[in-house]
Amino acid sequence: MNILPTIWMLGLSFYDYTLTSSKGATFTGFSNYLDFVKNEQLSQSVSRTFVFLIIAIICQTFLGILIGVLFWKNDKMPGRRFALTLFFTPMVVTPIATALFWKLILDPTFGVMNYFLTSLGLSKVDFLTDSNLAFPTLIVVDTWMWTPFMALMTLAALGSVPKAELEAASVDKLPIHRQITTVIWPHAKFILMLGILLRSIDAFKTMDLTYIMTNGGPGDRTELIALSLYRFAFKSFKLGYASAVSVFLLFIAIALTAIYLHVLNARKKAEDQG
Amino acid sequence: MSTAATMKPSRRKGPISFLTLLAWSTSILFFLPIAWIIGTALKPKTTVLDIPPNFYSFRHFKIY
Repeated sequence: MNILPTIWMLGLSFYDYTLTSSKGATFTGFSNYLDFVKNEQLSQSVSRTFVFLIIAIICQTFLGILIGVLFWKNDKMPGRRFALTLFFTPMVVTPIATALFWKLILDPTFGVMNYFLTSLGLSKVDFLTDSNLAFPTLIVVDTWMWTPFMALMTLAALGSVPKAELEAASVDKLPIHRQITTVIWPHAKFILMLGILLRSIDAFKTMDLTYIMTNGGPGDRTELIALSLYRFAFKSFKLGYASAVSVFLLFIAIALTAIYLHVLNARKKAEDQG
Repeated sequence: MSTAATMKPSRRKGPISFLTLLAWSTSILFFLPIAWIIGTALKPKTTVLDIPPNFYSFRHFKIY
């Protein structure tokens, strides 16, 4: 069930097959791949996707760890569960809905964000149509949406640290940096790594946010690879070419999954040794 | 009162700590956009795009 569509896609990537063309599919070998490599716009879109991925993951991991530690330290705070529920909400909202309401919030004319900016005496900002701001705005929205996930992974990672070891460290009066490096990090690193990898795989496929909020614009400033793929397949109907791009995406996903499995195996080995 | 009841761990009494305030502020900050959109969803269609935004239009509350 999983393999068949993949094989079909792999096969299609060697054909020149355009749905709107009167001629049928013709075998062209690796020409789709060569076109893909030569296409400067597409390589820009790939590099843009990697920049998006790296900046978004760094921001989400940093903030997620900070907030996760904040809630971990505050395990007796009043209304902790309710506060956590509120905090996790962005993560569970459908990405399309998230994109739509952020588009409404950031709208230069009707958006509430610009209303607050003008109330503070600042000038209006075109968050989604300014060529310098659109890409950072997307990263901010993605960070808002997925920081709770990284905080959740941090809480899970910190929860995996044995309490006895933490108590022993505090009895020994280990300084905080030593506690982190010798007690917390060895236990927490696997779950955190898995969180980062899962987010990386997901961030590489980001399409909904850009499609709804900016549609790849202004120009192609926010055109990520998944959006380009969508255009090739469902706007230009170039199914052969879109399949070649999909195969490339598939290999990236496989590479990230291989790292994911490697981390899982490393954890198993560490547990077996421990 | 039984011994078990007296030994039940209780929440720390006293002034709310800075960390608690920070955690609550973070949660509210992350929830604000969703709260805003829920508020917008409850408004009548004609007031959704009002400038300045109409924050208190719930008297027209109606489920569409």
